[in-house]
Amino acid sequence: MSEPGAVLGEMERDALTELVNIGVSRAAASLRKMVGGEVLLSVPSVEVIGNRQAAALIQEREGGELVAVWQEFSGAFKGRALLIFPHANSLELVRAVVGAAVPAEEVTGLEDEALTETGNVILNSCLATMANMLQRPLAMSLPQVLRGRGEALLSVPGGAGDEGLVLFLYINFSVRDRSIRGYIAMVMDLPSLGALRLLVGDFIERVMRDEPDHDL
Amino acid sequence: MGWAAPRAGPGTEALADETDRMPVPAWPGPPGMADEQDAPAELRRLAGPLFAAMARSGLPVLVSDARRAGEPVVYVNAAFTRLTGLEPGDIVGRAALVPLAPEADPGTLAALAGALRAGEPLEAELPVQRKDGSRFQGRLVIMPVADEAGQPCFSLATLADVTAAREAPVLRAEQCLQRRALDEVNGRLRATLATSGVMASWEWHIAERRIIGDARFAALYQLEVEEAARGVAPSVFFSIIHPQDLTRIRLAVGGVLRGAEVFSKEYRIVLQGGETRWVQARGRCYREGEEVRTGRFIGTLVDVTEQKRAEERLRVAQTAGGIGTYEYVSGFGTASVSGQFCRLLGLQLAESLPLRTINAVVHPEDVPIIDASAEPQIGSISQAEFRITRPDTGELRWLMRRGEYQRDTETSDIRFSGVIYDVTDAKRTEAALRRLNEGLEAQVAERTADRNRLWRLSAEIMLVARFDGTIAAVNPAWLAVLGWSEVDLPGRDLFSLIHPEDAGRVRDGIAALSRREGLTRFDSRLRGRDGAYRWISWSAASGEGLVNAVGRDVTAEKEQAEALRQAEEQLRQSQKMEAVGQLTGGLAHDFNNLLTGIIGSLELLRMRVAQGRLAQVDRYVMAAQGAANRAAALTHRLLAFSRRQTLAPKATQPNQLISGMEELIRRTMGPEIRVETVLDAGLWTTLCDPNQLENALLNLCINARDAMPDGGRLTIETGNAQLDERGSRQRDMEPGEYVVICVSDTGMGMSAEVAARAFDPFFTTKPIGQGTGLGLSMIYGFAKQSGGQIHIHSEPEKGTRMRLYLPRHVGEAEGDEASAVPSALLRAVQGETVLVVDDEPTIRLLVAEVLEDLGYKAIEVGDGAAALQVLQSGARIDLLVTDVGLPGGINGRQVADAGRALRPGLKVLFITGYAESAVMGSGQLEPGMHVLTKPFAMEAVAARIRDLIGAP
Repeated sequence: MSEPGAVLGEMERDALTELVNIGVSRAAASLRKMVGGEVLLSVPSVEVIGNRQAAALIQEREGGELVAVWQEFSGAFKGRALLIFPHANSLELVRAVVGAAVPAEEVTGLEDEALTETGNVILNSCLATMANMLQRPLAMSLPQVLRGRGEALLSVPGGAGDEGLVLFLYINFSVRDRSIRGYIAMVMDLPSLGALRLLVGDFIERVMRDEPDHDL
Repeated sequence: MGWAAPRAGPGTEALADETDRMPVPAWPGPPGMADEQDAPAELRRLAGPLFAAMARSGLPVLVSDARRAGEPVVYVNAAFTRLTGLEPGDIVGRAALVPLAPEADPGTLAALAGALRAGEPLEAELPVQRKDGSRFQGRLVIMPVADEAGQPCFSLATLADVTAAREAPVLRAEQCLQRRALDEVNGRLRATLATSGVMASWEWHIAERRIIGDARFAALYQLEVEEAARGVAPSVFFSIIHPQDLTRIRLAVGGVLRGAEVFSKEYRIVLQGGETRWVQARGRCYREGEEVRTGRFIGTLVDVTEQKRAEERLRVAQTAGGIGTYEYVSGFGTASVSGQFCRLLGLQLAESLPLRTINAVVHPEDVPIIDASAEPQIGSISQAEFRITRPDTGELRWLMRRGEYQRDTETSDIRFSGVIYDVTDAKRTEAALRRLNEGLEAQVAERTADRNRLWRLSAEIMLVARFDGTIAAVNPAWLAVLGWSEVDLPGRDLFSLIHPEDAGRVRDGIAALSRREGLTRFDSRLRGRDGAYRWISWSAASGEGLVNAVGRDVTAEKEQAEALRQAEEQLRQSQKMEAVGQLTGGLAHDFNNLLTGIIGSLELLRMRVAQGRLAQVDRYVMAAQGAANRAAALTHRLLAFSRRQTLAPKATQPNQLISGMEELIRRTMGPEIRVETVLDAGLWTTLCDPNQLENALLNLCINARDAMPDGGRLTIETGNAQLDERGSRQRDMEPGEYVVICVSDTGMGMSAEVAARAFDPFFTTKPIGQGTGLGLSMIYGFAKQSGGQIHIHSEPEKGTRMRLYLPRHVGEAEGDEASAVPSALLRAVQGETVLVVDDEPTIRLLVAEVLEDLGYKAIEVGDGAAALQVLQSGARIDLLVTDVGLPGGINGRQVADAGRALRPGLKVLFITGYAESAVMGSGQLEPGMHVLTKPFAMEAVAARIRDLIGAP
């Protein structure tokens, strides 16, 4: 396997970052409605790395137990999308989402439900926007909450120790003045990344055709 | 927009600072950056100290964001909450008038909204509803805060309850106060915004595809201010972007136009004059509803060129210096770190890392890199060295951490920022130096003590003197050796003690020392107190302008050595005599035996001839001949040992030679001894004299036979051997390829001492009369002269194995000349002439007679000069037979060479008693030149002459 980072060119990474930014902005709009308060989401950068490296990365940066909401997707490209938080951050997110009105002891009980809902909104918006932008349909499975360490969450589905690739995104949340950092990871195989890459190429072409003087 | 938190450390850092990943996290964003997501923070910065005044003011204050739809409230102060009961959470993020004035009349509200949109100041009185539902008549003063370009930023509003004091004159004064305060804030905001480094701000109306810019935008893009205020086409936005960044920014803007909300990029712009600047663009897109093709994309450009340069310089410096940076704000679980920081610790690159991860690499006994539990003094510097185990390589490294505790200017948090760098090499050097130093100190102390002890206790005399010979100090040993005490000598001249004969050498020695050369084993005589001289052997060195010398009394040794030398001389002499005696004794014994035989035979011969009993004559002739032949063999062996034997080496195949001899050996061995030959079929040939080899083999076999009086087994083996450098050294030989002939027996063997002397001449273990003791020494001489070697391996009762090494010869074995047809049958062809040169008339006579018997013509001369004359004449000469040693200044070799010069291809037969190496060269002869060793049988000389003349 070649250097994972080389799977996407610099421009393709930039374009993919913007695609996901569009997605999370849409998710932010949905969450604003859901939460009834200010929600801002942004994705500063995208990396394509091996899943073991991604696991090591999260583990080193966050340490300890992680919480993830995951959904499988299939279509022009397929794989598994995960919204990952350090365990402490996930509770903070839930508190931010459910608001101060709910007593702290009840928040814990609501955690999974709130996480599932939030994750679903974010991942769905992201993937749907990507599908939309890339003009290809994508099917999504129901969201699930997982807990565990990086390796467990990012392992290749059914893979016998094979190194898969992860589209690894940092995501910044600002929910009711709380800044929460998390990750979006899309575990994909090489053919899916190849397909995604083609679609990203189309997107770049369309943006480059944006003659700002004319129609968008 | 919410009730924004103050800007804080990494955990709650404002979003804008994280969206663009700064290369050096320890450095926060540019000061005064407008931040759309965090308006109050911006407000705080803009208002500076006034903000605190405003916050604590008794005057109820409300601030709304003029740049956003519906002008949501971004800030209310405590006085406002006291007046209205509305907490910040109740009103922030909402349009101000909704909770405040639900009953206000539509006209007033419309006027308010209009004024706000237009950015105009406004005063209004309106009924206000408190949170608890109670009402009061409020007086609202709104003062738009605009930047210098006239773009509205915030609206500051004060609210006063005028219900009770509507008419009070004091109110007017209060209102004046309000106005003044607001003016002041407004002016300050304007000034701050102007100096905040914002280069331009824009509002991009997406649906209308129009970008409205402020005055700075106009200046940056070279537009008229009015043109910018009216709005320009989106293409203008991209027109100043550096080509290399254009795609990236178009993609990012494309994202915003397609629904992304947050925009934060750094890129280069090219100014009118061609200058390139780095800018940071930050913005946000505000949309109503779901429609992405609408909305306002508002943003600012800040010049970050200097910051980028500083960052770049810092980055280069940090990378080159291997310096990693970190920043930690107390209370958080993570720290911001630089890439180099991660690399130094062997962690994956990250912008921020949990303290746990960072500290986990540190050696358990060492201090943590960042101690969350520290309670530092503000301004204090913390420095520590610690070991880490890199998680990626497992390598142990020493690092240094240096950090400073500071109070954050914006928050009250304590910030711990600093650097780490690798000090492993320095640590290792330091440790090595320390070890070295400790060792040196100990050594110096020890040596000083040793030196003192030596000075006092040494039996050898010690001297410290100046180069002019003045004695500076002597040690106590002088008393015992020479009778001088330690106090007698200092200050005296050393030369007054030196023997006059030695003074010159001593001066030379001191001169050598002054040139810093050392002196050892320098002997001189020194006068003792009793006047007698004693020999002292000195070792001396110079140092610090002084001669330091240690001397040993060797007088006794000198005497002993002299005695020993004399004794040795005597011993050598007697050994020589013994050897000569042994040699001459052995020779005399053998020769006497032989001479007795010869003399006796000749006597008897004469008697019988006189008696006429001729029938018995032959017997005595045979006996005399036999004894004479044995004497000839004896001298032959002696010469072989002295290596003066003339060898006629030729390519020889030892296997053939051994096979030819096998029958003879068998017969010699007798029935009790079994003879076996193990011959290597691939045996190389060797270059040696085959006759000598035969002789040597026979001698070896006879020795073996004599070692097996009760019978046994004799084995003759041959083989090839390749000797490398080491193997050859062990065997005292040159490296190379050798043929090995090995003769072993199962006899009585010999002790190591006997084996060591086995090759000495006349050494024999046989009873007197049974052997000459010359056999092995002759073989030794033959082997050495042939370029080979002989080795003996033997143990008592275990037999003996002799190995004869002869150098390999690359080439075919030559045929055996000796196997030619018997010479007696050969007769000379008519007229064949032989020139015979010998100074011994008897030999000349005999040879000439033999030649004539054979039918040759002989010319006899007695010296070289005569021989030359003959050679120069026109006489026929088919062969030159000459002695080597000749009187008259021209030797046989010179005669032969001259003859060959005159008559190319002249055949030569040297007849010699022994071959002088100078004459015979390396012992090997040119083609057509042959040697016959004296003494020889007449028949042998006849055969050789016939062969030579007959050869082509």
